[in-house]
Parts: sequence; C-alpha cells; structure tokens
Amino acid sequence: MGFDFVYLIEVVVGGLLSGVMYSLVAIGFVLIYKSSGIFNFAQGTMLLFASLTFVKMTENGIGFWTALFIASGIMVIVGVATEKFVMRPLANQDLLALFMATVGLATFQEGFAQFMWDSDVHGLQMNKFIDISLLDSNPIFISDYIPWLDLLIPRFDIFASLVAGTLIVVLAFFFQKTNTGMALRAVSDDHMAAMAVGIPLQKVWAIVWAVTGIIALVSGLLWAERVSVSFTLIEAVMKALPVILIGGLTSIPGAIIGGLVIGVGEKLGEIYLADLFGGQGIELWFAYFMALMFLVVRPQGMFGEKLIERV
Amino acid sequence: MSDILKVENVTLQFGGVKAITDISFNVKEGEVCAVIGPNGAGKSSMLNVINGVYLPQIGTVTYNGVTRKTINPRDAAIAGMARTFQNIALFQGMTVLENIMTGRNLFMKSTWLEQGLNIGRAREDERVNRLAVEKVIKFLQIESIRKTPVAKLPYGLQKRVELGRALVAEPKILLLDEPMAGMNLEEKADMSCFILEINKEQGITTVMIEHDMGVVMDISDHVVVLDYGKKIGDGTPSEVMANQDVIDAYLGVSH
Repeated sequence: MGFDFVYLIEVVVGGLLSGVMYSLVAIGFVLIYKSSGIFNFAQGTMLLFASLTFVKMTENGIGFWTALFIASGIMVIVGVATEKFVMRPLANQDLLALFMATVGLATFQEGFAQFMWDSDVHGLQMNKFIDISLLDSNPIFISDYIPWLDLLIPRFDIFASLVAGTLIVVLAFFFQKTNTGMALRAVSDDHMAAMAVGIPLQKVWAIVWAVTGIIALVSGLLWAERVSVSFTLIEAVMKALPVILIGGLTSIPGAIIGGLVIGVGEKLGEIYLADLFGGQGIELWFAYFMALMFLVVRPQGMFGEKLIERV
Repeated sequence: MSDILKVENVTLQFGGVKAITDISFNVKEGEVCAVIGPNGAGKSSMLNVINGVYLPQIGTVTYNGVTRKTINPRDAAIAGMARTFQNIALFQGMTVLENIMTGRNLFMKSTWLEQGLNIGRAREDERVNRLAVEKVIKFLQIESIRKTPVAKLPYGLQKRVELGRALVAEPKILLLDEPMAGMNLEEKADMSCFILEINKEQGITTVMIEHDMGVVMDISDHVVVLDYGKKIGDGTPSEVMANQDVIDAYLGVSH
C-alpha cells in the first residue's frame, strides 16, 4: 500500500484545528505577560471557573445565551477584581512575588469553584445549545465527512476553531485599531514612558485582566466539549505552555503560530512517529518534547524578544 | 513673567544615599532653563521629582500655582507636563507615527467601541489627532520615516521622535533629559534649532538637562548648576560661567 496522502491532509487539518484552540489559550498568557511581565499561573483555573460557572447555570435551566452573557460578566468582574485586589497592591514588587501571587490565586480559584459549585465532572455538549448543524446548510459540511475535499474532519473541531479564530481576529483588531489597544502596546513596551504620556496604567491592566477572563470563558467552553468540565480542564491548559515556549511569551502572532505548530506537530507525531517512541499515546507528551527541542535552538522562542543587555 | 515652576527645598534620598540635598530654584514661564552638572550631580533625579517619578522626602514642587509634594506621572501629563528620557524610552514595537500618536492619547474623546467600528467621534478624533501628529512630523523633518518601526532608527532620530511624542501633547512645559547626548555636531545643531523654535515660536517653557556647555550657553536663558546633589550656581549663562564654584566643579580645584 502506498502512502495515504488524503489521510496526511486529514491529520494536518485536524492538527491545525486543535492548534487554533491552543493559540487562544496561549494568547491569554501572552496578554498578561506583555502588559505586566507576570506569568499568570491562574490561567488554567480561570478557565475552569468560567466553564463551571457556565455549566451550572445551564444545568439550572438558564438559556445558553443568557448564561453566556452572565458568565462573561462574571469573568470580567473576576478579572478586574484580580487586578485590583491581588496585582495592584503588589505593583513594583519582585516578579517572583507576583508569580507566587498567581499561584495562590490559582489555588484559591480552584477551591472557590468547588465551594461555589461542586467538584463533580460535568459534561458539556455544545450541540445541545447551538445547532452546529447550521454548518450542514453548507454542502461542504455534511457530517464529519467533506465530500468536496474527500476528507474526514470532525464537525465540532471546525466549529470550535471558527469560534476561536474569530475571537483571535477580533482581539487583534481591537489591539490594532483602538486607542485602548495602542495604550496596551505602549504599556507592554515601556511602563515609564506610557505613564509619562498620560496612559492610565492601572486601567490598562484592568482591561487586560477582563479580556483574559473572556478568553478563559470561551476557550474553557470549547475545551470542555472535548475533555468535560472538571479539574482535568486545568491540565488541558498546560498544553498552552509548549505553545508559549515556541511562540515566545511576548508575541501574539507567536502564540497563534506556536499553537498551529504544536497542534499539527503532535498529531503528526502521534500518527507517524508513535512506533519509533514505543507506541500510541505520545500525543500526551510530544508537544512538550517539541518545545524542548525548540528551546535548544532558539531559547527566546520564535518571535520572542532576544534579551540584549548593555554591559 | 511669572514662575511656572518652583522647586523648594527638595531633598531626595535612596536609602542612605542623598541624591539631592535641599535644592530650590524657579523656572519662569517661557524660558529655556538648563540644569547642568557633572555626572551623578542629581540632574535626572531632579527631573524625576518634578515629573512625579520620585517622591522627595522633604520639599515641594509648585507647578502652575499648585503646590504639592508629589504628583502621579499621569496627572503630570494631564496638567501639561511632557518629557523625554535620558535613555530613549520609545515604544519599540511601534512605528514613528504610532509612537507620536501615543502622545495624543489624552486628546481622544471616543470610546474603544467607536474606534473599533470607526463610527461617531472616532473619525473626528482620528482626523484632529492625525493632523496634530503630521504637523509635528513636518516640524521635526521626519516625514520620510513616518512608517518606520522606531527600533530600526539610528539613535539621533530616535531622540527626535521622542521629542515629537512629547511635543504633540501640546505641553505647557517640556522636560528634556539630555536631548543631545550621544549626538554628532550636525545632529546637535538640528536639535538645538528644534528646541529654540519650540520655545520661541510656541512659547513652551523648557527645562533641559544637558552636558554640552556650548549648547547650554547658546540656547538657554537660565542655568542651574548642580554638583553632588547640591545647587552651586543659578543665573544667566554668563553669570554662571563667571561663578567660581562652577568653575571649580567642572575643572577641579588645585590644592
């Protein structure tokens, strides 16, 4: 039997689709890091908290859009409150102290989520709420099989990456076109100069945390469809770490491309290299392995800033 | 003319080290005031106290008739203070145009929603502020590098862009921290012309830290001399030149 070229394309497309979702999670990290130099360890629990809040609401009979709206509101409040009560009092402290604060925050959010809701595993079937068969009206998307291209691609993956991709585009637009976005880029480049031209540093931070809250909600819901709403969701977020290592912590385009590279890489690895590494299941760790190899070659990541210090 | 800025008995300490000791001086509205002194004399610290970056332990700064111990740099910007930094503090990820545009952020009246959708007040904002930015770009003769990322520019031009960012905010007072450091003769001449023109044509009060004595004597109306955190001279350029303490500080004293 010759090489199955169609299958290869399926694998690559599948990888790209899941890569978009890695990218979205990674952007959450990058935004906070760019604007305040903090690696936000609580990103994963924010994701869990967001999707748990949403799921509990829908389980109690609140409609999809209402629940989405309320959950967004709650995540904005959580984000702004985190900035105001956790990060702001620690401004100008050692970065390690700030990082430890996010570790504490993660533990708190994990406990708080259990206290508020519960620690059960919740299933989340998006197609209960949104009719993704909408895609069916387009003849390309009938079931998971795409006759037009003769490929087999899960429909939900297409839907999820469309949502994630749209959010990424909206965010990119927001940061390029608005004054708030310009302020954020200014703050990420130079705090002191940003303040000197009159940019409200704390307001920018609050906006970044609020946006991160929204990203956590959206990516949480998309991931939850695959891995259910439970504490394993936090581990899903850990997949964003190799993405950041490859893309660089300071670059949004890096996060996007890093996500795609990891998505495709781990799928290709699983399918074509598994035998070399001793069987199936290497998808679980192959992303980290790729990141490690990448670090050897380019420690600052693909688009990260190379730190040059004047001596 | 009245004093736009009064520094009174300011002392600034970092731990046990006194950066500034009991310094007072006034800046008249509309003048170019140079703050000079050997390395480590406390010049930049002084500027940072005025701008609100450092909080002095003792003393007050009166600006525009308001006396205070410190100000938040953002409030200073709102009150019409614009500044440049000793080690260029441009936004490295942005183009020249974008950098100068950030200097207009206090003039933006539209919300992010209007800007994102380019509706309502956003268009007017864009028009008015872009016009102001273009005026500054033309004045500083940097039209050709408008779209260049600042990180790619040579040092002298970066200094010029930073001046542009401060100038576009239509400040009452400009604080320039070594605007000519590291420049060659030609660049210095250009920069001197810009500073003089800003001062004479637009009437913007300028406080400038500078090392080049030739430049200082040429363009300033008033010179304040610091040495080891203390004020040792204050007056017109010719008065300061004749001051024995100043001569000693610069040339050393024979024992």
